[in-house]
Amino acid sequence: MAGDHKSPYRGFAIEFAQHREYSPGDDVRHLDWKVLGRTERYYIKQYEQETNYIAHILIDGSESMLYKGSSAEISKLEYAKSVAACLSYLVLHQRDSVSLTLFDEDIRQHLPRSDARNQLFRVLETLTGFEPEGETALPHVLHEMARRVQRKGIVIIISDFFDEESDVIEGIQHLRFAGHEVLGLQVLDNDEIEFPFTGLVEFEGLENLENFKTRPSEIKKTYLTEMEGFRERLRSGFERSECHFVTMDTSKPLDDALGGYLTFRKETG
Amino acid sequence: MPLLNTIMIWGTAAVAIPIIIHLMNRRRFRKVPWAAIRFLKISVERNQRRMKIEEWILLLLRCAIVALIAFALARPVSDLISGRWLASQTVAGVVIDHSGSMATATGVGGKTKLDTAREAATGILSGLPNGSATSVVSAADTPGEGVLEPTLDSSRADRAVEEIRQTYRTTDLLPAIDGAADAIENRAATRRELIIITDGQSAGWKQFDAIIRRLETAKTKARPVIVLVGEPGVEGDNLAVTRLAQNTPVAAIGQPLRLSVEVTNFGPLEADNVTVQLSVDGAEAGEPVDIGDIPPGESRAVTTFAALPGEGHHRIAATLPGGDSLPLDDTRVIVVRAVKRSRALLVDGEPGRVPSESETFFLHNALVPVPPDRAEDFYIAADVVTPSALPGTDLDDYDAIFLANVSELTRSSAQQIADFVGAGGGLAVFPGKNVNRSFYNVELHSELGLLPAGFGDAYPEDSNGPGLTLQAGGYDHPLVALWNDPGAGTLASARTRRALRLEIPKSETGGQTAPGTAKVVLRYNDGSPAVVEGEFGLGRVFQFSSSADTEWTDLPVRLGFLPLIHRVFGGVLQRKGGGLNVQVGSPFVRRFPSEFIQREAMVYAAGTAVSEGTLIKVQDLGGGAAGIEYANTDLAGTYEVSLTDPPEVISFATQMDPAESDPEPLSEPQLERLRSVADVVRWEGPGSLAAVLGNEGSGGSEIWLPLIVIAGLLALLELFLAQRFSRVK
Repeated sequence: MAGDHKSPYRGFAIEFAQHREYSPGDDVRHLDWKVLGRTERYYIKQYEQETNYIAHILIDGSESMLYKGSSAEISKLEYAKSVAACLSYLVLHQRDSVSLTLFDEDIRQHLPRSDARNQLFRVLETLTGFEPEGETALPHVLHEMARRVQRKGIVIIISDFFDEESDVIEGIQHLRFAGHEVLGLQVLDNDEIEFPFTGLVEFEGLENLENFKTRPSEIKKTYLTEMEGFRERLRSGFERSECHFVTMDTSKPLDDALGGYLTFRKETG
Repeated sequence: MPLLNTIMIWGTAAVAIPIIIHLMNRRRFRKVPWAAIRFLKISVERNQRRMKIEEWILLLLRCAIVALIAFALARPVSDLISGRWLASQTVAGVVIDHSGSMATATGVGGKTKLDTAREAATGILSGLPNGSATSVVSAADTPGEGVLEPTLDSSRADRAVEEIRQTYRTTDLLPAIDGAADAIENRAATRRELIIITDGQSAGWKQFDAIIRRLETAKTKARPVIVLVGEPGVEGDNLAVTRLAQNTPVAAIGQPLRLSVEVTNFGPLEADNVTVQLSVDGAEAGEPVDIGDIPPGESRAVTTFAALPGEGHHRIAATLPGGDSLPLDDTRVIVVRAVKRSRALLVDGEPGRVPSESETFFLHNALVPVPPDRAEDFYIAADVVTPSALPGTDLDDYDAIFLANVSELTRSSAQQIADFVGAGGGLAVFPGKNVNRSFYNVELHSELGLLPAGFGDAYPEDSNGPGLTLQAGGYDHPLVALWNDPGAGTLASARTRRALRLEIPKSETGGQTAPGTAKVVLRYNDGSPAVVEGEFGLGRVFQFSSSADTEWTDLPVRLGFLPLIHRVFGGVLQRKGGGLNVQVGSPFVRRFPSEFIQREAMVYAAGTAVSEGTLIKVQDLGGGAAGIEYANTDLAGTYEVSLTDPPEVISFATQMDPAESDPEPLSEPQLERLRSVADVVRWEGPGSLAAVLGNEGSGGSEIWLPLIVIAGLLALLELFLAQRFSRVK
């Protein structure tokens, strides 16, 4: 991830390291004017760290994330954990900080930010030890995070976002107001996207929701329309808040989903 | 709406099947845990109403299809719809009278009434709608051959009509009508016809009231039609030999056989100078016997004689010159068994000092009523022995044994006599003062079953009173039927002072005496039995109630004693070769010793070729007896039963019921009653039935075809909708 992201603290030096001679193409804003005035020689200031990037990773640990469809090898939660692990590795690898938060109705587990080398192991340990059990309340968690997190950074939300989308967008806007960059990674099973069911099916609601007996072919179009509308409303809500929103299909390889987004981010700076 | 297959209406209960399948399907949902319930809920709620309506439409269609098929299978009939493409089945039961009277010539084209009946039946069958089922049965005294179960094969029905044979049987239409009505009543059809084709001879409607009741019952489901063939009152002359009987008790070689011949004039005009020709074994026996003039409706009987050429069975026929309207009754045949000499063994229980005091004196004189010097030539021989000599006597030499006042017998002698009778011998038992009643009742009656009755108390109590006399008339038993003719004398002149009461058990179960075979031959004037007859094995037993001498009764010195004893003896001999003459239609039964069981016999019917014989086997009749029974006696005449090992030929004859010769038609009141339960039509050629058979409504049409078509269309609609509804929405 080194050099692939923009720091929120652009233009502020963290820790001065040394001078070096100016060469054409260097940003003139980094010229040391005092040395120029004293010696009429052009020197560029160099710093110990270019940014102080902090990634706050939020994982939806509610029961709905346990769903694993017929064509998927892992559940949505396992997929989300994998995504979080990958992102943590990349962030820590460029010596940025990572914090990890697992939530359902409320924040269940929180690993404070750190750029220490063993942070990755703590992240992985937290992820593997987590077992989902409750219902989800994403908007509440987003508001809570906006209040708690002081240091600005990028907030990465990995969830299926099966919540009232307007409330979710409010939560996102709260985070944005607090100065955070927000990235929404919606993890969906292929069954939830394609709705490939046939025959007579009784859908048993996860998170204590009611059951429905139906003939899926009779409602498929309506379902797909509703689902697409939901995703579209989320996407547009994120975009209105100048945030990114990416949908991930658990039946697709992880590198496809993450690679696509990182390439996009590199291109957009 | 009438249903032809009512039971199938229960099939409409099958409408429950789609409902059950629907309900069962509701329990067969595959369970899937689901997170995105929110969108599912919206989708379901939005489509719920449409899905329910679609489900109801498909369910109703499926139920309707099942109900329509079940209803169609019940074969409903409606007269609201008509069309050639709709089934309209008629079931006809045709009963054709083929009794003896149907052989009467109609005077039209040399046809008999049966020919006309066949013509009428063929016309009726050809007039039935295509696809009709028909049963054809011949009728006489029993339902004859034919096709009882209605067949859709019209050629088979036509063939059955053609194959109906003329028989000599008597007529009783009820069994055939009953059978035909049963066959069509429960047959699914839009229209049922019960057609009875007969000559309407009064004698054929013996059970007239029962037939009326049966037709009334049949009328609720079928339409009875009686088709009368032949024109009443136009029959020509008809003389019939209505009786030919052997009057001599024993048919012996060299002895004139007395025969009684009766001829009846059933024609409308007096028959002049009627003669009848006797023949023995096909050869004319003497000149024709002149009977004289016979007024219409009257009978004349003559007695004539014939000589039998040798031992064995002989065919004796009485034949009229013929040429009248019913040839079947112009000849009557009987079979008699001639014997060379018969022997009787008289066991004397009280020999006396001189022959005239002997208990068997009168019996001997009655059996051999000739001077001693001519006794050797007489056809009956009689030997007298005492009871003590019985064990040393070879009973196989005798045809009958007479026990006269025998006190009792040793057990071995009793068994010896029982074996003798069981093998076909005869036994006559006379009581007397010496008789040990306990021996007779226990050993001979109860244990052996040899005697048909037990000996009760002696009666009348006052032996000096007027005593008992034998019945003066009303002789039912053939043995004594002779005395129904006053010219033959009387038995009533004899006075019996003492007798042992004959106690006939109500039901015999022990011994070999066939249950219920005890018959009273003769009674006293007080109604008590005087002589009782019973069967034992192959033989016959006559049990008298009074003595064989004059000690208790003066019968032995009366004129009637000789013919009575002769007839008893003759009865024993007839039993040996008995049942040789039976009425047409009745079975010929012959008993044999048990070792004959499973032996084969060929029966050749009258007038048929040797190659057309019927093979039958001697059957086990139980109780150590065996016998044959041949029931196919449709034709009058002589039949031969040929046995092998040892070779033996038995002849028997069948005679037509004289009633069949009587053309007396149903009376107008009877016809009127028939018209109340059936259409009565006289056959006057093709087309004469159209007025009856053609005018009735068709009874409606079966509508199963349109129902099935509708069910098929609904099935297609269901298929289409099911496909359409199951598309992804």
